[in-house]
Amino acid sequence: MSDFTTALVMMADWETMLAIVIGTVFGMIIGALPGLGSVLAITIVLPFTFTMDQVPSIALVLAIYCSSVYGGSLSAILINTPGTPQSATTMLDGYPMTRRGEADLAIGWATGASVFGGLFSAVVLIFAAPQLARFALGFGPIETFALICMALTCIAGVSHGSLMKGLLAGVFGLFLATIGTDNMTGSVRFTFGFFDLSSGLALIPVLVGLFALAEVFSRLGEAVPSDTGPLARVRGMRFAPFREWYDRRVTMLRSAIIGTCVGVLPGTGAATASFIAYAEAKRSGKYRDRFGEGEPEGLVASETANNAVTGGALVPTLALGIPGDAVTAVLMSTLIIQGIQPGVRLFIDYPEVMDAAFIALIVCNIMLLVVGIPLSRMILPILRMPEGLLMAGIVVLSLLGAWSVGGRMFDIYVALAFGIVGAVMRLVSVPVAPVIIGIVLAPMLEESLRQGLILTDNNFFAFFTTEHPIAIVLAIATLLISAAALRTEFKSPD
Amino acid sequence: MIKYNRDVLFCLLMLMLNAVLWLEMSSYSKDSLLDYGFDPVFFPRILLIIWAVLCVALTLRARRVVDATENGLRGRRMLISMTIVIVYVLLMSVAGFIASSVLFMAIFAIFVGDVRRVPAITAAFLFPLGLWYLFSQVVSIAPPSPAPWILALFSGATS
Repeated sequence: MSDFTTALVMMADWETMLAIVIGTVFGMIIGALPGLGSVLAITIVLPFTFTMDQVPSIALVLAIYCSSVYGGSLSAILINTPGTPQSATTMLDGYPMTRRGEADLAIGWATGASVFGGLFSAVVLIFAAPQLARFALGFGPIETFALICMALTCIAGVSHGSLMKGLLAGVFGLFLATIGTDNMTGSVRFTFGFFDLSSGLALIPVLVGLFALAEVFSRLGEAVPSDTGPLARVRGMRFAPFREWYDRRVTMLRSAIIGTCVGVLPGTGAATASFIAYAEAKRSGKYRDRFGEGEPEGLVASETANNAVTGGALVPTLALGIPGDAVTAVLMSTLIIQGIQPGVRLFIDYPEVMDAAFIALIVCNIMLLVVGIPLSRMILPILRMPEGLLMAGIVVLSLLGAWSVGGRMFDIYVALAFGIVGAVMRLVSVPVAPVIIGIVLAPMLEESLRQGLILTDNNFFAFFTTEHPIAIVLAIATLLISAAALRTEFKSPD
Repeated sequence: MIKYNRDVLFCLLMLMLNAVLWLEMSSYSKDSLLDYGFDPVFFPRILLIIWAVLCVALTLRARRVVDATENGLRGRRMLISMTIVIVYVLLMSVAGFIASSVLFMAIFAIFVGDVRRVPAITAAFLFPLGLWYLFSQVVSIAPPSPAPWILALFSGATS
């Protein structure tokens, strides 16, 4: 049986399909609730994947990833508050449509565009990721070291404005991963005599703290509630005639390309993609004069681009083992929990699982349509849920998730500690995402640095000689990104 | 509190943490049998140096003054919610998951979330019980149970 047939059999399993349906419903709801989002949604379900098989667990997190990005558009259209930052531009034309009494039509446009963007990027992922992995097979430790340095600089510099704060967060994350047993020498590091720390900090309690608990603390610390418009009446979802979709095909295709390309770049993310696609559509779209007044073309540009990011962002994550943002870092940790190490050997070592993951991604995007139709009728009562109750529920569920890693109170204490750390970081505008990416990348970075130094007789500068042209190119790119980010930073601090 | 001070305070805090970690690191002795050319703290040492340099640079850069109230911060509410969660975690290690979660959800929703009492108390009972069932029966992960002395106390009281 070929890998593809095996993958199809794996996908046809009821457990996998159920995981996709549950993941899509859950992701849409969490994505629609303002302020929550993809990272929190995946973090919450991560403990459930411990007892699941490889394919259903991957399908579950992929479903949550795709649907949470789409879910943000529902609240943007219905209550004038984007559920996730990537839906901010959806609001510009989506909410005016709701005010005109066309909420169902706006949701139809958003759903169709999201499905198209997601499918487009899934196809790109299927073709690009194995090729990139094949190219990167020739990477030695020195090239790997240079690549991780560049990715971390990109993420730190681009993701949240201040390069220095981003780098500090990244270094903090890298350091956290060194706590526990050193893989090379077997020595125990930075445990301060605590036996529980000898195996290092588990990723899930840290994630739960930094993303779930810190989010709760920060949200409760915000003084002004978001300004939502009057509540709309929703009759579900309605699709525009095919001719209207055909009229906007260029914008859809262009936005899908923008979203996929932006997704591949580390540190940028779906919000950037939707802003670029919206701006481009506003500049060159067929109906650009009507933008901001409830023009579906604006909505389509934003939604196609932000969902196209999903497949694009998975290209470096799967092919190189380098996540571009916090969501893909959490996704990568799901694979690691399942005993799958993303990276250049992924498509050689697990071809059938990867084929199943690709099929799952396509099914997840189609499921947006299937689940979106009934859920769009029910979403308003969910959006009206009292915030206090929601926050309390998130705390209970998150702490139970931290407990489920090893069944010990220590992990709950770690989650709580990182909840406070995360809240403080938000207070001083230090991005949290580089911490997680640092934790995920640290073992690979340390190993490649040490191996590289052994190869060059402890001469760090020998990393960047003509023997390693790729490392030189990556180092130059790192320097240029740093210089550009620092220039911007010192022009206007924060 | 101004943002200038917040940045500086954060960096000073990070520098103090860095110093503590540096002290811990200096206690490691180099074992030639295990080091493979590098001692185990070779990589963390590099990170701590970069960490310190970034903190100093950020302290020097923090020159813009912004009033924190502009950011819409309600520090007191945040501190209260943190305190309630800390008490909840401590209570969980003693009273177990269900009892502590019911209490936490009710108190948190009513006093921090301004939720009406009836829905808050109903949800406070239903949600932790539902989660307990899901984790213990479906996923086979037993949530935290009460401390042995609490169980002994209750079994003594009933017998």
